[in-house]
Amino acid sequence: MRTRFTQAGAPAARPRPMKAVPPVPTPSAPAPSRGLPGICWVLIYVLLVAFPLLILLLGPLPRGGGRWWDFSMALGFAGLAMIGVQFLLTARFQRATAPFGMDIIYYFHRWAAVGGVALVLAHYLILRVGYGDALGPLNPLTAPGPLTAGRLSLLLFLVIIVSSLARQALKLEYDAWRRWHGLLSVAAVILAVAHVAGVGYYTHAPWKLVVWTTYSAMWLLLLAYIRLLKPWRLQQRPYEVTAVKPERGDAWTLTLAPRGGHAPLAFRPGQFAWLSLGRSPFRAREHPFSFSGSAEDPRTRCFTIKELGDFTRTIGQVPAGTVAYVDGPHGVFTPDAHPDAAGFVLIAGGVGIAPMMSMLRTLADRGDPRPLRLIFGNSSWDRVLFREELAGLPDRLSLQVTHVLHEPHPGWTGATGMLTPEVIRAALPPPVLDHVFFLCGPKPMTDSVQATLRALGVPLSRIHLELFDMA
Amino acid sequence: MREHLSRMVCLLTLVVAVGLAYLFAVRHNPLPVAPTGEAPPARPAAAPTEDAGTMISPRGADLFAQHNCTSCHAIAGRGNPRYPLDDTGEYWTEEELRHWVVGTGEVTAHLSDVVRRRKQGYLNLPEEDLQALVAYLSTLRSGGQ
Repeated sequence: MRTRFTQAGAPAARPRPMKAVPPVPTPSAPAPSRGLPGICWVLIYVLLVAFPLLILLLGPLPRGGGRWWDFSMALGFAGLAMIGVQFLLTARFQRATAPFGMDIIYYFHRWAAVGGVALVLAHYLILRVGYGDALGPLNPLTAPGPLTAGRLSLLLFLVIIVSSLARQALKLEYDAWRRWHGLLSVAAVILAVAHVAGVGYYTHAPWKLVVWTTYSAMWLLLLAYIRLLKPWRLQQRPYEVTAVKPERGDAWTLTLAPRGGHAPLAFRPGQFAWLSLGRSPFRAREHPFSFSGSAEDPRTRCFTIKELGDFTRTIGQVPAGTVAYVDGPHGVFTPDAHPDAAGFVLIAGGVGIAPMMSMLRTLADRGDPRPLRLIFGNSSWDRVLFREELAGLPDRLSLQVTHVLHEPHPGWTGATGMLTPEVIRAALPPPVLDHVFFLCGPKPMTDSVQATLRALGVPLSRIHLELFDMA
Repeated sequence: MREHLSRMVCLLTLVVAVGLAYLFAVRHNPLPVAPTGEAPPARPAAAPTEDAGTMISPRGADLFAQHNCTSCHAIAGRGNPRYPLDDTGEYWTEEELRHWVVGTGEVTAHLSDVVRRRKQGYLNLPEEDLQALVAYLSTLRSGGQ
């Protein structure tokens, strides 16, 4: 599957970006729900962060403590609210993330984390600089408990930020990092809430106490949903590995079939899911991979995975019969979102071909007559994933494949090099510029190809790609 | 493009948050009060009418700092500005001040439970410390601010 792993071993792949999915009637997948447009979710987000501040602003207060003092307090509340909402962002609520695509949600999660912690840090620094005496001693043994809780909470948040943004540079292994990220963030929020409650200035009024208790309770319920209810649901619908097939380019195709009577989950070509292999879904050891099989397949679900990191290097040894859990589908990177497209152009680099294979196989099964074009960049001919199948697909689809190799063998007559503007231009005759474009591959490639397409006059609304390297 | 938009949303959220925080600060503090963290606690200008208050004031001031009273209270701008004690010697008698310190009596009846419990912890102070503290507080009069 198209995943780009770092040296430290992290599943970097996330599904490609997308707009809202309109209902597309197909026999296999259920019609996607008409969710709220993206702008509504953005407003809901801002409102959730602003909510405690609005409560503060509209409520009574015994007396002010000075503008800077009260400004600092309000910043602290805002920071905590922003951080609390972070848990909502990564809870993978499909309806809320669908208009944006999961990858951009994670991207936003990182920025929002920096923003939220910056607010909390500002809260602390104003007090440290302007009201040092009020903070008292640093020593946890002599300082008031709530203040120590606040300091520890801030410290944990800073650790979380650094360990996440610099995870690869620090060579932190992905699974361990993820587990610690979850534990530390819960601990930090609990300490922050203890700090707020202990300091207590704004919780005197009973109604405010109710508001804060409700907010905290909702947050706890959310945790219970993510860590208990969701995994439990996944456990009711297990899969098992029926085949592990070696592919070109150090890749493997994992085939799963439902264990027990349930039907396999429906998905749209190009979507992805979080996969847990051989572990209970409560252990939170899942990794995201794109479906690589046809969405019309009534029984099995396939993922094509490249050996790039600690986890993916073990895929080849997974025995048949191993239990698996599939959390999905997620993502809106799918031709099904564009029923009116005149045709599609798929541009893939390396293992980015996996979701494209899902699209091509599905369209072939459906007998879709629209013109399709694939531009596929690889290092060498013997590493071209799905080479043989791609050679056979033009029999079933109106498909043209352009292979681009940057280490061609002698006698290669096709395009060479990387997916440079020249190569892309040469592969795209003008009529094709009206089609819908899907890009999947390493970020430098997708950035460059996107720029080329823009220069050719393709509007951004018809170029779809997904971000890699989310963690 | 989406990345740019998502950074903009983040920025918008921060602007809204900081804006609301500022409005909050202004609404509850109609006149600006700047922190004066660098000045040492001012000696009260008016002499206390009671006994040798000035002799035990330094000890009282030490106790005030030692027991982290500044985490909730400010004197001459140092400490938590929400509950300043600058005039406290003018408004309350020594007996009332003692109740204030340890969270007992009618004067403190309106305090929240959390605050009272915290103050009642000071009942464990040695008697001479309590007296010193109370005497110190009774010397605080508005000659300073």
